[in-house]
Amino acid sequence: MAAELETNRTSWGDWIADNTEFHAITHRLAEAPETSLRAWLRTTAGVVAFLMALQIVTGILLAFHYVPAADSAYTTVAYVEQVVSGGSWIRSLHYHTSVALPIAFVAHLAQFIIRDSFRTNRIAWSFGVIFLGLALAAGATGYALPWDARSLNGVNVAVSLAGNAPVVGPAFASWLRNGDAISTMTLSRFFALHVFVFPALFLIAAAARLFFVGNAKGADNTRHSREWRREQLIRNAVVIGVIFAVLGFFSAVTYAPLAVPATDSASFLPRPGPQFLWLFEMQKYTDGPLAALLAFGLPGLFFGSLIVIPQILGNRVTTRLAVAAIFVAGLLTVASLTAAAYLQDANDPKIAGQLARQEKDETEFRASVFKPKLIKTGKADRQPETQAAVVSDSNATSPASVPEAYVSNCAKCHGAGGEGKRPFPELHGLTTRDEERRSDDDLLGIINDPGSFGLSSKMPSYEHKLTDEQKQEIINWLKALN
Amino acid sequence: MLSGVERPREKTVEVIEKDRRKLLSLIPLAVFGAIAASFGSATKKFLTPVAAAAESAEPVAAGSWKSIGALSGIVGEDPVECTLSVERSAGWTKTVEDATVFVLPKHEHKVLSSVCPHEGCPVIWDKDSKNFLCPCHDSYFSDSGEKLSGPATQNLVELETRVAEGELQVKI
Repeated sequence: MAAELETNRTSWGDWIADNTEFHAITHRLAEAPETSLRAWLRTTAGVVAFLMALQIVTGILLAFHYVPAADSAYTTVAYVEQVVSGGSWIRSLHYHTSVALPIAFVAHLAQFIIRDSFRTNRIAWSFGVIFLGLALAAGATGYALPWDARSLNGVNVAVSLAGNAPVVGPAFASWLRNGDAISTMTLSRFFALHVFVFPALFLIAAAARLFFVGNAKGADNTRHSREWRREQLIRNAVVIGVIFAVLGFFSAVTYAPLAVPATDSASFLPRPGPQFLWLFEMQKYTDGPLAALLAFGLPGLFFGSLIVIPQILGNRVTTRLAVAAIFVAGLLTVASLTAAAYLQDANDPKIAGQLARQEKDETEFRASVFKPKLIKTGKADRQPETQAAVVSDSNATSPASVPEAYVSNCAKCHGAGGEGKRPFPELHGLTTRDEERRSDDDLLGIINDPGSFGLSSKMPSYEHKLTDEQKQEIINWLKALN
Repeated sequence: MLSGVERPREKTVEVIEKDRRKLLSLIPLAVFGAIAASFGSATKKFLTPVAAAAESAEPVAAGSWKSIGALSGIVGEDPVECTLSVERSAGWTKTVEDATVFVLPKHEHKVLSSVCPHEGCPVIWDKDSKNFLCPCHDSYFSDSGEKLSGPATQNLVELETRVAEGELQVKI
């Protein structure tokens, strides 16, 4: 009774929590009260959730300006960097969060091992491993999007590695390339994977995790548990606040890289982001099927064993030892390969010099004025000399066979010869094109009532403006236009 | 268990503990509020359309002078339709598009925009009635651009013109 009175007096926040699944969800995520350091360690779950949300929000913002086509992508990204206010900060935040996210997931997995809770909470642990894999996949596909020299090299490497994979290789590479060579079609593939497929898988996995984790038949709503959750929310907020402040500041002073356009990539020395340097370093020592085997096999083995071993060995001490050993071995491999990549670049004066030059070019690019892409849609632009003739002689250009009724009623929008005039459609092939295949009755119906054929309301009805004879003349002429 | 003396003191402790908790629960509110505010202001800036003149190397002015042709060459009773090539700055693009205007040799070479003031469709010259006609919603305009009938409430827009070295120019 006393407890009920207390909830009645609490804030709207508590009211929402009481009347939604909030308690049940937070209970599943933080099922048991813990204190001090262990409780702080558990804030990694809140951090990864926050970073994911940040990626989705910054990604949506970038999508407001981005165009995923080889001839426009670079210009739109340069536009975000050079013109849009706050653009370089948002893009930098998106880029640096993509580096921070795998690190946060590694920390999240590490605290599972440190707290020794992955043996009892195997589903949460497995989802943590899956999330790390998805975060890396989303980051990797994102490299293609600016379509700069770095993108082109990255896509080249990804497609080559895919092609060298055993059995499925050629089909996999061809699917990624989406054609005979790397082109704007390849960019479409990477764009769809980066922007729709991996985020969707992420959200599905997140929903599944909430659904599966814990076998809570009902949330533990004792006062003790609720208080602990409240405190855990405060801990999460503090850690998230610090991380956002650091990321936000770092993104304000450090730009996301944007290399020269893909078309000028000949002498460019590409380097991936810090989270992929291990993969890059491995490519220096391997070729062909071996390279593909290592690039896909090692991470696959790493993630697979982390998921499978706790399931097979169950809740035993050996499980903890095995998982900890694999985890540490994986981290050490990545760390040493990353360090090797850094050191080799720093110690080779030729490479260091080239990288420094590229950095200087990028600084100059950022200081320069944005160059817009020229798009010509006009016809007048192509024939400036004959303009006067066009002006005075609009009738002479139309072929003799064009019906008079067409010229005075339809030509204005559909062109003197039915060639169409943006945004109005062309009329050639109305009876033959697969997507049209209009019959005589269709054509008459469209002339009388375009709306009923689902056509733009911009075309008015000509039912009473033309005689039946004129209509038939126009229809006959349209049928001859192939 | 509880004596009459201890009870008020215990209550005080509970009240203090409650206040402390209330204060602490402001932390998440403050942190998430600050993140939302800083990010929200950046978002507002980020999504605000960029003014055309500020963004490109050679800004294309909102209206620039385009040559139509020799003034003496444009004659007759009917309006003369003329397609001009117009450059505009639009975000990350610079577009070159067609714009149609009508020159009225009968009315001191006035130049009219072909954009219907009703809802933006291009008007056409109807030779039979000697009127401008908007094919979209049947607005009619006289041969000098004044509205006659239909939903349009304004005349066709008259564009600024000048004559330079015998050439008729229009600002578009």
